[in-house]
Amino acid sequence: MTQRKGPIENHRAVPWAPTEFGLLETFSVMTDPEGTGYVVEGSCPTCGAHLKIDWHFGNPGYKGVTVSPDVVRPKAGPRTINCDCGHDHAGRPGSAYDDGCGASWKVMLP
Amino acid sequence: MNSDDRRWAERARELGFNQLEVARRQAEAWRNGLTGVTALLGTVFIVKGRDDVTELAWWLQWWIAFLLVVAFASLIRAIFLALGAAAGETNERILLTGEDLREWTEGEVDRVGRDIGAAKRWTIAGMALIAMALLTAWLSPTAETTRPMMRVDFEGGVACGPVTFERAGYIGVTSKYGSPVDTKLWVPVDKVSLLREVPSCP
Ligand SMILES: [Zn+2]
Ligand SMILES: [Zn+2]
Repeated sequence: MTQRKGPIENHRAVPWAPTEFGLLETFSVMTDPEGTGYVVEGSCPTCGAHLKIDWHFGNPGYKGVTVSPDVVRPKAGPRTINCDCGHDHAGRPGSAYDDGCGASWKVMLP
Repeated sequence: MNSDDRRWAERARELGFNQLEVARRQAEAWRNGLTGVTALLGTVFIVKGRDDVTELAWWLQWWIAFLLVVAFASLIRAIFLALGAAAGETNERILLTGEDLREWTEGEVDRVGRDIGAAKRWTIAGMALIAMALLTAWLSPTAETTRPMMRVDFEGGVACGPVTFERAGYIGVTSKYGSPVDTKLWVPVDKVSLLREVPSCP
């Protein structure tokens, strides 16, 4: 999930465009303090929005009823992030799930 | 970068928001499936009532019981495999990113295919075992418990059980009839002092 940090960011109201970037080193990827996921933080390469993303574990097909879940340890490697800055970017199609500028990039999961 | 990556990332994020709905859907699927299991077991018990089995020899009864137990186990295994394939495993948690979801999905597609195949084989095995049990019950000669029990007093003692006359000059008495330790005793006719029908043997 994404939180916007208003005061720090320097947001550019560029028109929506599906732009794909490669791996970005400018994002930090940290395990979260409770050990239940990762916190990824950085600025969108297109619109400059400051993004903080929580990656947590969940049931991929369905969330189950068992008490002790089998947690699948994620492998190290690149993971995709789509911009979800929450600002209005002109021309964003209604079919776009993510509420951002259309930029998409990767970060390296340790 | 592959533009599919964007879609997978969206799906993973969406999934994070829909966890409760999917939980309900899965619980429902499992509930319906388990109701089906109960119904099936009931049906099998009706098909194989106990009436026609109790007249069979003890070892045939045990054989049929064994076949049915293995058949149930096979069918239950089949049902759980099919349910797992249809409803999804309930206890898996992955990191909800596009890449992890994609990898999990690919593995899951393989698993569902394999489990459905295995479920089919277990079902066939279970059905075959039930058919075998039924055939055993139908085709086996019934035990000779319907023959009258005779008490035979002779010079050397007393014997009790169903009798046969298949050997000239002898009466065959099967004592401890119907138990694993039955024994057939041949008594010369001229040694028999008394032969009478009794309701049961000691
Ligand atoms: Zn933006
Ligand atoms: Zn952006």
